[in-house]
Amino acid sequence: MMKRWTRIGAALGAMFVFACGGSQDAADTTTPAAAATEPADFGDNATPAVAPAEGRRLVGADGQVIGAPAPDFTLKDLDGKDVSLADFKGKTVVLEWFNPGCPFIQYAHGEGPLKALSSPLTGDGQVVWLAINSGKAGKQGAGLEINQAAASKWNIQHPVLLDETGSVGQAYGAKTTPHMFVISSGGAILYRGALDNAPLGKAEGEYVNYVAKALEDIGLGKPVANAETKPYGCGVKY
Amino acid sequence: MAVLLIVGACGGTQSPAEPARRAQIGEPEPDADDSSKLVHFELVADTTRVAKDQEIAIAAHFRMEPGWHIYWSNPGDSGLPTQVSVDSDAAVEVGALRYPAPRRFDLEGGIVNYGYEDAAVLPMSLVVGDVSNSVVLRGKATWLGCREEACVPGAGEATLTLPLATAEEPSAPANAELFESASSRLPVAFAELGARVSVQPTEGGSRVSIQVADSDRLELFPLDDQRVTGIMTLGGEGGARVEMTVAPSASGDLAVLAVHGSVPTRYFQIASSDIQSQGESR
Repeated sequence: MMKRWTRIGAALGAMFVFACGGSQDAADTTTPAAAATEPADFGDNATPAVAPAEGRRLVGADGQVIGAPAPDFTLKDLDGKDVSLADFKGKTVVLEWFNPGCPFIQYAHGEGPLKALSSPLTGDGQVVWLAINSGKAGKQGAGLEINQAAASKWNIQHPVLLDETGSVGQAYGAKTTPHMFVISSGGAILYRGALDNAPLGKAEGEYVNYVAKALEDIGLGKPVANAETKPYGCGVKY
Repeated sequence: MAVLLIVGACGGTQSPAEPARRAQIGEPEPDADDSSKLVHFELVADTTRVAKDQEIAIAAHFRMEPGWHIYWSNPGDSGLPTQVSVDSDAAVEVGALRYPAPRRFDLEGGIVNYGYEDAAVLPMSLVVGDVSNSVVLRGKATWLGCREEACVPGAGEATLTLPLATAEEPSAPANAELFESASSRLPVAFAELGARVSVQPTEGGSRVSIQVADSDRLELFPLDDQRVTGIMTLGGEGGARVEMTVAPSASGDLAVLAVHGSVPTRYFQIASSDIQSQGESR
């Protein structure tokens, strides 16, 4: 288990190096630091701790509780196949609210932090990424063909799920594209908010990828230190 | 750990999307590749000329195509804050950008945004130092232009040249209407309102209730909607009332209160100190 999580960390690291033009030196210098951190051991069936870090609110702005069970759903993917959250029990799941017509999504998948995201992660098999498009039929970025074209253009390997009624988006309180949720192997929401601190690649201060950080904390068996951030992006086109 | 450090090391080098690469996969937007056609940005001053040791007002003036809006310092549930920077080689000091009170946009799905439609004037002070030539100001702005069905990020640059006033060509007021439109919506200190405030400790922070006798409607724009939550506006006997929950970690400016009534709408800035002092006095 520990080894697997280490691989995820390495895969994420590799992904971001790739996304920003390759900086192998940085990867090498950070390896000892990662190795020095002793991950807490938790069994394959254990749910990581869900308690937020000291001083953090348990209840979100809309009354949703961080650490609460993630609402289950069944949606059709771009091949018309049913995909349920329950299919991935035992795995960490990342939900990304998606709209291929939104410039924030276009940046993230076209050249930003989600470029080529899927392959190292789904290859590992422990973190599942699901994109959910809650755009209503006829609105920007909605519709099967538009999403198929986007998945092909950006080489998205993970499922893109269509939620044209918006019911799954509303159940999660998804406000923006990209609005991100990280769900524990036991089905609890451990992180929700922004992808990173850099809308359209413009970071305020040092770049932080909140989702990568949450996955790292979960992988180490630690509570997610930053369990909620304010999402940015286009409004979900309900 | 490795992830964070690697990302941090290269985050600054990421560049925003090039318009050419921003191919629309959704419905085609006729102007989507040229955001300057949706939002026009210029710098303006409240005077035609400047003199040494003078303080004037300048502003970022945005004009939006019909139906498009840009965002307040807190964009709300989605969007991006409009940002402006001004610099100059001349001996001048540019004050902080001020955001007049926004209007609220309610989108489908309960998404609430705060921003400006049609036009926005975001003023700054400009203190003129020891100058002997025209003052050239260079402004840069970034924004997200949105309408109901689409958003387009934009960026613009503008210059403003302010010649020195002379005996033959003295300074004259300029753009009075624009600056008036901004200043009428700039919030003043909450203490000037004289509202009744009560504070109840609750699980998620302090539940704050503000009652204004001579108002029929209040509007509250949170400056930080992660720390100011649960906003409810109520009418009823004895004037209008608004309630909000302020997180224990909240500090500094919390929200802008709009007081609607028989007189023109007034705007007040509520800081955490306004809540604390009221709480203690009770």
